[in-house]
Amino acid sequence: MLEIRELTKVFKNGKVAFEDISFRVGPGDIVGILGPSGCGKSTLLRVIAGLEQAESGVVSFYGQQAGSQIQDAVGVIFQEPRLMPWLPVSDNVSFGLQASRKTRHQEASAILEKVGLRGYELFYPRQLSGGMAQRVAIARALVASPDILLLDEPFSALDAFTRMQLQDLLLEIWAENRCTLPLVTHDIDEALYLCNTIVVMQGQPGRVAEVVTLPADRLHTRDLESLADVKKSIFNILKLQGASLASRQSRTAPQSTGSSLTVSEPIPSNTTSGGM
Amino acid sequence: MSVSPSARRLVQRVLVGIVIPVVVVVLWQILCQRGVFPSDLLPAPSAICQAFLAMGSNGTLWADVDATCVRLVLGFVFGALAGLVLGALVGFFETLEWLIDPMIQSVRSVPSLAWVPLFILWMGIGEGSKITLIAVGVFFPVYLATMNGIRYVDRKLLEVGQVFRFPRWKLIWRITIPSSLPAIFTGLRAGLGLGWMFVVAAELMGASQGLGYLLETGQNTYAPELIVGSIVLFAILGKVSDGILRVLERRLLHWHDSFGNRETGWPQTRGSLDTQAPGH
Repeated sequence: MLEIRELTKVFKNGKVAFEDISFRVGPGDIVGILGPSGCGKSTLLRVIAGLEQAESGVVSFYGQQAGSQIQDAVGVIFQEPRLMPWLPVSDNVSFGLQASRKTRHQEASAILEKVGLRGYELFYPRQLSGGMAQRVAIARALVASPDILLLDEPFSALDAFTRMQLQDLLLEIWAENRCTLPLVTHDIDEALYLCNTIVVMQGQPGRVAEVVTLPADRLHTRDLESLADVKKSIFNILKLQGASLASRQSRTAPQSTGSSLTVSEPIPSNTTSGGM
Repeated sequence: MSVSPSARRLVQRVLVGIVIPVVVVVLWQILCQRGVFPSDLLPAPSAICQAFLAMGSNGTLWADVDATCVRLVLGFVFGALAGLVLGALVGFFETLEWLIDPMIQSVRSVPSLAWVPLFILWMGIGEGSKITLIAVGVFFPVYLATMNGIRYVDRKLLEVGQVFRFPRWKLIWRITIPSSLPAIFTGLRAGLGLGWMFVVAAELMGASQGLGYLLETGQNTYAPELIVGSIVLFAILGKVSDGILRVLERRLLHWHDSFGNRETGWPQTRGSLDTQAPGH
């Protein structure tokens, strides 16, 4: 579905954002791109979206190498809602649609209903709370029915309560559309809750440290106890220093398009890992 | 019969706003009648009103007001159009900025009255030179505001359009232009203010009609009521013309944060707000 091969991005000032990134995302996957700030994960998403160009490497959708233009099937939800302040909610939602006014209005209303904002069509962005504005942004991305919806820390600016509501909303939408969701986040709990695969990035410039596949029977649960050992292993990966990361990377990089670490063995019922 | 809250607030505002002018005029009238001010230097409000009512009834006042307004409107339209077009071009094309912005910026620092002799030489003392002078005054604030509004459009909003694969013209039409409108309106209002300054300068340099001409006549014929009356008329006309732009601005830019009047800004919706705000 989406394949990244040996992707390297260098900023104009010569600083390397990330290098030699390779992983593959299957159709309908929710893939977390997890890493500390500064590891280039947001830039990686921007390159996938086509908003920035990589120095070398390949991004391909459905086996087709992406050119320099932005892909048809791609939608993006940014960290901020990025609504057009001069448009009411319904026009913001239908911003990317090319249709008659009536159709646009109908589609906007249908999707607003889905994100829980029915009746807010005529509101202006300045009248919305942060969570509501982000719902509108989600609706705007969905209205074009993308196959791949790229999410760039979409909930990081929200309070914990709203964040949980929107995470659940995202899972509802995903259950209905089964679109592919690459999700950049720095929140381990969010990645563990939403994703079935987590690409852990590390270092400056960022590299793929591990690709963690979550056990199929532990998906989309807020019961983080049962994922304690996965969380612990991610913590361990993120604590790796540059030197040992490099050696690990050179071992796994060529085959890392698959999953280099699959944590699929049954988890002991009595997890005694303290110090989380 | 019920009055809407916003209408009542407007009435309240107007009532509060005219308190000071009324007090000043009443004091002025009383002091003039007591002979505190010499009437040949500062005439009483009643004397000014009489003089202007007389001019109004024989029609000369309207001809003067009309002449001034026509000059201002024409100068404003030409100056604003030039400012909008050049500002937009320079805002969109960086090379053009390097090419013409330094020149425009240096011309901007020429004092406005320095143009007067040149324009008179070129166009005589007719309407052409006056309108050109006003247009020059209006041009610069509009040009600067338009250029900056377009230049500093939020890149993050443009990316939203890029993700939807908008072509360039559509990015401009649907994102750049609406988002630079607040800045452009600020420039237009500043330009209009300068236009009023320049219309006086233009009329003082030689006109046979207009409020500026009335000012000069007052000076030459020792008629202070003409001078003070013209000043008051300028104040009123300036306020009215700015009010027209402000109404237009409110219409077009009600979405903008600076008009954040949350109580009155909420549109009617079906259903109750509180139960429908899960993200709140």
